Amino acid sequence: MKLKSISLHELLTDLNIDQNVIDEIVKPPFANHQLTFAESIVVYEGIKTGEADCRISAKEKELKQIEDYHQYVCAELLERLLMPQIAAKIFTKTKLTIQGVGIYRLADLVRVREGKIIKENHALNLHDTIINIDLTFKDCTFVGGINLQGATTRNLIFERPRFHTAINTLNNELESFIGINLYVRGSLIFTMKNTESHNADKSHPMIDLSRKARRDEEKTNNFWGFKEDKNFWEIKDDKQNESENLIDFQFKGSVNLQHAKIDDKLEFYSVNINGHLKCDYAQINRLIFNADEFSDYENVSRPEECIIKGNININEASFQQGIHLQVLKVTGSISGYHLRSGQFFIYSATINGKLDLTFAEIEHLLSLQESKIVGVIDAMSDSQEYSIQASGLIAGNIFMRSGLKIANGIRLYRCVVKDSIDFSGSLVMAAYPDNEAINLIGGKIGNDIQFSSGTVIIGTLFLEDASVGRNIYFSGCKLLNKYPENYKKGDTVNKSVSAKNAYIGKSIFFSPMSKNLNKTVFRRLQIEGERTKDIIDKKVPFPDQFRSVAVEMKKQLISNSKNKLTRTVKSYGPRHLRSEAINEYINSKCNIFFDSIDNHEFFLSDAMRCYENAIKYLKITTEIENGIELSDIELAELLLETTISVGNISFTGIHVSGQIDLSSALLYTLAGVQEIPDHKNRIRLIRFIKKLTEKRVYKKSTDYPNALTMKFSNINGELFLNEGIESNLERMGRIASFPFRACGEVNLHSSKIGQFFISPRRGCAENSKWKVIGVKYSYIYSNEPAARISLLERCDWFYNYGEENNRQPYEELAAAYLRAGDDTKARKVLLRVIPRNGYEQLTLWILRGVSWLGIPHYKSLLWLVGLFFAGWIVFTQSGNTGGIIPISKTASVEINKSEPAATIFFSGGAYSFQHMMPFLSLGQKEAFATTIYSGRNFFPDWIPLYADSGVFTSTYLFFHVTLSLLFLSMFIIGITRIIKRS
Amino acid sequence: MKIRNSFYNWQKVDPEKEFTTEDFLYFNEGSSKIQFSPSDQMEIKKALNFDIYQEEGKGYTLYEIKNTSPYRPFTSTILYNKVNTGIKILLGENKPIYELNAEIDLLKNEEFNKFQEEKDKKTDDPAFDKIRKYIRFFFDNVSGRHGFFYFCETFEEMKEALSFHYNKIENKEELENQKEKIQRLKKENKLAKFRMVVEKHLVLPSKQGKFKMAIVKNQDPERFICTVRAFMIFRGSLFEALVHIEKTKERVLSISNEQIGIRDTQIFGNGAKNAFSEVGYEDSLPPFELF
Repeated sequence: MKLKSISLHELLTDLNIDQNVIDEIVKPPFANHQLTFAESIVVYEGIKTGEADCRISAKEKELKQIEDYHQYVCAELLERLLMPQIAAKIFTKTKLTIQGVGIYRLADLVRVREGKIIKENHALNLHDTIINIDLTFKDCTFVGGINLQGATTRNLIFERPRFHTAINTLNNELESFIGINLYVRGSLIFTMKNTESHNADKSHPMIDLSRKARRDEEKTNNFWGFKEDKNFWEIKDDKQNESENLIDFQFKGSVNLQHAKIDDKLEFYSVNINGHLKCDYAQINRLIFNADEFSDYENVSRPEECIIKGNININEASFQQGIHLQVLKVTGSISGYHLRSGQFFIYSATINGKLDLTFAEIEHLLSLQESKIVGVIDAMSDSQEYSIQASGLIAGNIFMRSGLKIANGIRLYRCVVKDSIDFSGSLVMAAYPDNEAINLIGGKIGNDIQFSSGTVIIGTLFLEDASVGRNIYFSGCKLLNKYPENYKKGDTVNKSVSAKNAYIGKSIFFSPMSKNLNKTVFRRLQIEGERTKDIIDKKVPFPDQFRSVAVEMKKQLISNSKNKLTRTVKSYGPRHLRSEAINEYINSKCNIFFDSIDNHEFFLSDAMRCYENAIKYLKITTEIENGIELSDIELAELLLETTISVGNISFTGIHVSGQIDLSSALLYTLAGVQEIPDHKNRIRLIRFIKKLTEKRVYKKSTDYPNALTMKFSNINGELFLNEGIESNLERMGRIASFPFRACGEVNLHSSKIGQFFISPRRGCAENSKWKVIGVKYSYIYSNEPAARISLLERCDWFYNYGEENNRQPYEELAAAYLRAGDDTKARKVLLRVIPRNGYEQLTLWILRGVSWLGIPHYKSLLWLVGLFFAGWIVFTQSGNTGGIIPISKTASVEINKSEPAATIFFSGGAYSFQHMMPFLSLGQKEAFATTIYSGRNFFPDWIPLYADSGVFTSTYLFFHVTLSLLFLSMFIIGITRIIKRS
Repeated sequence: MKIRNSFYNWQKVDPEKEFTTEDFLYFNEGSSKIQFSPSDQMEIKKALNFDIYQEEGKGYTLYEIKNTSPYRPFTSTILYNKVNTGIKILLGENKPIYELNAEIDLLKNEEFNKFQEEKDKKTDDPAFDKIRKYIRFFFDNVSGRHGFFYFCETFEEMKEALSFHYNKIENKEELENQKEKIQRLKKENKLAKFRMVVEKHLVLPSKQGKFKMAIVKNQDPERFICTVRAFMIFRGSLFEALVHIEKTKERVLSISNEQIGIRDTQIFGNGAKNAFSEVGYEDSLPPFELF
């Protein structure tokens, strides 16, 4: 059907417009312009009501065979109508809404009618125009770009638009929306919301079907994203995702809003841009990227995300209220160098490149959640690259938590955070080659740093010289690095945490945080486990939880980096070669770079293998200690509660004002040293371990890699290297406790500790060795009720490194015991001290024997009483058998002998007692002596023994006096301590 | 379009009697639009038979409004609820229909439990009638990317859809091709055989109601309330397909198992396939007037 054509002049006259204005509009080329249907509607209804709905029903179009060009509007006409002097006279309403049209240039008219391809040009050119009406374009197609350079507009809204490209003459790039220096006195909105449109894709049932099939495919990946794959670690060829070809880009080129000023918001809703978004130096109140979480009419949740095939550049821009990037996929990077913003939210977004926030100032909250940031490595440059580069960032709070996944490290070097940083529940992988996962060196954090509830950090966490106002929580965190396979002395151990010279205002916790929190996490795990059957089916559930995600992201990173490398080589390499030759050239010349990129993958797989060993070790030791076999659920819960560090935790020179609680942490740096026992040998092993811990402890001569280094540290409060505070003990049904476990050396050299809570068994029975030289503490405690002599007292955990001051630990322990009022233990500890030479060794043995007899003081008293009675018996018998002779004239041994001169008679008891008092000389002692030889048997007749009474008594007296002296002095010293104390 | 029209039973109504000024104000969102202006040249048709969106005369009625405003020589199809004032303008997409389904709870679940299993291919069940009306209405008003699906339940409808297809300007060339093909068949003296094949497999079964929509066994009772086998003409070809109505509130329609009819054994049997290929005819159906 042919539609009736109306001339512009006719239509304007029909609208009762002033003739002068009509003349102005109907200048060439519109003198004899015949309007299309859409144009007539735009002019007539647009001017009359401000609403021009030019859509034609699809049925009507098909039945009446209306050609497409009837829905086109020529741009020149629109531009002329929007010229300020004309617009002011014709538009009585403050808005103009145009719906369902295509906008083209007059020059392209012929090609449009023929349905041919149009050369890229500005479809609508409104540069340097002041527009005083709200413009809304709904379902409009711009056959070319739109140019709003230097224009001033009110609200500008594009609903379901479609932009082609035009060349921006300023930078010679293809851009869809050129808004340099644009000033919007309101909002600039691009939205795909409200599908009341001609969008045929959505209405076509068949298309729906194919989409559904695609979504079903996506759904087969379970919650953890785990996919069974034999060649799990192999990198597959990077093929472009086929579904990506189906993406419908509303912007065929970039959006350029450099230096633009927008009073209210700049919003992109479910919009796809095939190019960059440039907002450098812009002043925008709010930047919002958003999309519907759920697509229409489908049960499957799949966000209709915004896709940007390029970068978002917001360098030096300022956003008064903030930036909200939600449900967004960026193929390039986001760079916000020295960006100023009130808030910065990234939620449920995928950023394939990196996020650059160097020197950015975010007043309140920087929040990155549920997002993936992959990053890219420049293999040819020396500089280290990160997924998030935010050196010198100033922020109120930083939330990088709840499912944030980082493939290539976070750099927060010298950042200043007024409140806290929260990393809980995120996955951070290290940047190669320095293995920096999170770099907080020199950072200033006002409050807490959280790494709790299942944070996984693969690589090193640098906290060197950082200052943290309150606590650091590592509760349940997994700090993973790799350790040397066969450790030799002098090998460097990769650090999982390096907090050299950090200052912590309060405490560091490795122990579980709150019972409820973990319960919730676990419940969620259980639910997911039921759904995915992952926890139940898999023997070792936890590595898989993040492993697949980690591998996938690393693969993405590697492919990104390789692409970048290839691109770089192509652009700077030989240009005369054909494409295959170039590929060969790249392969031959850049092997080193490709290899260095590949190392990423190897590091990850190494770390994962070490982590699996750690989990095995944890499982078996827990089973042995508790005498049970752990179910998979229990193991999952155990892993959830346990903080695992693979690699060295270095707290050298750290200053902590509160406590460091390392209970329920597993520090693992060993492989190959300990053989993990089989389940079959368990019962034997339990016996063996019990034997080990109760009776004898072996010394280790093997070299251990460092698991925990706390050299030169200063801890004002408590250091827990045991089962932790009481509340930790009653956590799980069958597992009694979550102790501190270290596999490797624990170096506490020259640290200052307020109160030291320790389980020395960990230092000697398990695969660890403690270096405690120079440790100073005011109080020490170990809870080992089962042992007769506590391991602490036995001092076997002081491994002798043969260094200077190796007697200091004994002195320190003794001093601590003394302070605690346990002088006995203190003395015993002192006797265990490492001797300087053989002579000292000998004396120490004797002293040890004596002290074993006479300490504590009640033991000496008992000995004294015993001696007294023994002396009484011996001397009485001796007196009867002639072993005692009087040496004074007034003395007589026997009472019944009537010697007139005798005034002193011999008494066995008194004689014994008086000989026990060394400094007294009393009657009995003066009056009687022992003979050397009496000639009579000491023993009575009924004992078949013979000993000369004199000889026996003199010998006995010698021991009697010596021992009395010894025990008396020990008793007196003991008593003095009590008196002194009271 | 006779049959199609009789399905809806269009009846002309007087605009002034049918709609009040308030109604028109509502159509135009107050006075912000002049899309529907009550003018002398306006023609309004009302679908009397189409009642699936009506509940005791209160729900939505289907209207066709022609020549709505001075520069709009088109027909608009709308669903309008006079009592509770609601309007859905049907422009060819499924969204307004789905929205309406969710709003009025079309096809209540309990009614259709019996369709879970395969039944006699009875088509006079009132509940099934509702489904049939919904499917036909949906495909009459929702366009695919490349055009409409014409649902055919009789041979006449098929003929109508085919002739409509060949009437289009863009299909003139195709028509020429068809004519050439028929000419070729004539030359080879195969036209009689072709006519016989067509009559055997298309014309005759139609008299027995073979092309009517029918309930088939629900393939996925968890997801669909029912599945219907139907025939349709799409771009000059006859298709057999399964149409599913989902259990979602919106009653989403989807098509699966599409098979081009003229080559398909399910509709015409193996014999037909051989017969058609024997006479050298494999493409879309020619307009029936040609032979």
